[in-house]
Amino acid sequence: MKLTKLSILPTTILIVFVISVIVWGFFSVSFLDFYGLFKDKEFVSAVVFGLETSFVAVLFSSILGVPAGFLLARSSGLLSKVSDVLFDLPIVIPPLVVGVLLLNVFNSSLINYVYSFVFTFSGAAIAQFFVAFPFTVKSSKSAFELIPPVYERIAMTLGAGYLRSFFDTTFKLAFESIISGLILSWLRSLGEFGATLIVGGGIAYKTENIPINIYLKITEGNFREGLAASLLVIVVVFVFVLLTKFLFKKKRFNL
Amino acid sequence: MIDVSLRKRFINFNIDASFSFKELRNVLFGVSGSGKSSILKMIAGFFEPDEGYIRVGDRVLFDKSKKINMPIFKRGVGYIPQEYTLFPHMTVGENILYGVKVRGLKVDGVKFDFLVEKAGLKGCLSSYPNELSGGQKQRASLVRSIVVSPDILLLDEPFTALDAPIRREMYELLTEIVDRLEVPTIYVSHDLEGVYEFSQEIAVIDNGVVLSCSDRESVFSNPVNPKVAKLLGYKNILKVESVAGDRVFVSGHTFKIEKPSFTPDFLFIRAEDVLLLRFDTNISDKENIVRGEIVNVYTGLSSVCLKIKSGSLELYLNVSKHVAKKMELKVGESVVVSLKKESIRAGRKG
Repeated sequence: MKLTKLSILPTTILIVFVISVIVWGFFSVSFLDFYGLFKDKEFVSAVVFGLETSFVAVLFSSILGVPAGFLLARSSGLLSKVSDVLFDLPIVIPPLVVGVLLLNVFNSSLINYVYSFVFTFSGAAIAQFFVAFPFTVKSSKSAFELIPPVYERIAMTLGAGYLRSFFDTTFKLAFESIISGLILSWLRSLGEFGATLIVGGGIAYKTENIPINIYLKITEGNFREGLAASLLVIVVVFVFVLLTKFLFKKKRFNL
Repeated sequence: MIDVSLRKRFINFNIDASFSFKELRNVLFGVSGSGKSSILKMIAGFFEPDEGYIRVGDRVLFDKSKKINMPIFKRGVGYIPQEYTLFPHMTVGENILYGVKVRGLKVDGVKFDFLVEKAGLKGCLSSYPNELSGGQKQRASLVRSIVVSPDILLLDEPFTALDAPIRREMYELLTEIVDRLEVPTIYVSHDLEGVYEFSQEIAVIDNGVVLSCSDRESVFSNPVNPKVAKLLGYKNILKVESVAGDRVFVSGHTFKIEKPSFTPDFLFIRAEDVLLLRFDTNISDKENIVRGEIVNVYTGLSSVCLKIKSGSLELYLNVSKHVAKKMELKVGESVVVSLKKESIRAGRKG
C-alpha cells in the first residue's frame, strides 16, 4: 500500500474535525443573528477599527518586512542569521506576552514623553504590527529564495542598473508570493486579540477590534451574537485564504 | 584585443591568470573546477578580483592599481551561463528586446531580423520560455545578448546541457553570428571537440593558472607539459629517459623526433597518430617501429582504441571499426605500429 493512501485516513479525520466545528456553528445561529450584527454599531465600529489598524500594520510590514525578507534570502551573514531567529519570536510567543512587553515599553517615561501609545489607535496598530510582520518577512524570504540571483546579473549585463534589474526580474517573479504573505499578515493583524487588548484596552468605539468585540459579547452573555460574529470572520478569512491559494496559482511560467 | 591579468584568493582556491586574445573566437579551456568560470564572472563584473586588470579594446573594465571597477551594467558584456536564464515572466520577444528597452535604444530591424532568423526563433517570439526546448532557450539567450551589440561576449558552457547534435548546431550558429557581427568572444568549455571547432585562440587553464595561451594550432600541437597534453586529448604521454640529438630514449625504445629547441622531459603522441601497419607492409622505410601485443581493446561508437604493450612501453592507438574487424584485432594479438616523427611532440615537465 502506498504511503499516500495510508495518509488519507488522518487527513480525512482533520477535514471532518475542522468542517464539523464550523458547520455546527452555522447550525447554531440564524440569519437574523447575522443581520443583527450589521445593526450593532459597536460591532461595526470594531470592524472599522480592525480594518484600519490591520491596514497600518500591513503597510509597515510591507515597507520593512519585504526588504528584511530579501536580506534573509540573499545574505548568510551574522545579521541575517540572528534576525532569522529573532523574527520567529513574535510568531511563537503568546500575543498576550507581546502586549505586556509593549505596555512596559509604552509606559516608560521616555516613550510617554514623546507620545502616549497606551489605549490608542497607534498603540493597537503597533501591537498588531509586532505580531504580524514576521509573516511578511518569512514569506518574502521564501519567495526571494526561489529566484536565482543570476536573473538580476543578466539584466545588469543588458544595461539595467541595480534597482531596475531587481524590480524587473527578482521582484516581479516574487511578487505573487509576497502579496500572499501580506494577505496572511493582514489576516493575522485582523484576528489579533491578546496584544491589542493589553495595549489598546479594548475600549468600545475607540480601541475595540473584532476579536475583542466577540470576547466582550460572550462575557456579557450574548453567546449567539458572539458566535455569529465569529462565523462572519471565518467566512472573510476563508475567502482570503482561498484567494492566496488560488488567485496566483495559474502562473504562466515555471522557475 | 582582450587583455586580462587577474589574481583572486578564495578559501580553498586561488586564481592567478594572465592572458591576451587578439582574435574574435577565443576559448578558456580546462577541466571542471579549474577556475575558468570564475575568471569569466570577474570579467563580467559579478565579483571583484583582488588584483589585476581587465581591458577590452581600449576600454578598461577593471584596474585595481588605478581603482577602476566598472559596474556590470556599464561593462558592455554579454553573458550566457550554462543554466537557462531567459526571464520566465517575459515572452521570448520581450526577453530579446529587454536590453534595447532598458538602454533606451532603437531596435536595429535588420540586425534583429537577421539574428531571429538565424536562431530559428521567428515562430516563437510570443512564446514564454517554459514553452521552448533547451536549444531554443539558449539560442534566444544568445540573441538577447548579441542584439545590444556588446563589446565582448562571454559564454560559460551554455551548450553543455544540450544533446550532441543540437550542441553542434549551436556551435555553428555561434561561429556564424560572432564572425558576421565581429563580436570578440570568450567561450569557457571542457568540451574538447567543440573547443577545437569554435576557437581561433585558446588559453588552457588548470588550478587557476593559465598553462598555455596561443592560437588553436599551436596550443593543440605543442602541449607545454603533461597536464596540458592530457587536457588536450593526448593519450600517450611518455617519460623521456635520455636524449641524444634527435634521438630520444623511452622505456627501452629509441624514437627519432624533430629536433626540439630544448631538452624534452616528455613525449606526447595522439592515439590517432599511432599508425597500425598491415602484416604485409614493408617496414624498412617506416619511422619509429614498435612491435607489441594488444593488452586491451576499447570499442567506441566510431573507432576502436587499442592498448599495446612492448616491454615496459605502453601505447594507445585508435583504428576505425572497419580496420579492427578486418584485421581481427583482439587481446593477445601481435601488432606492429609506426610513430611518424612529426606527430611526436616534445614537452617539458612543468
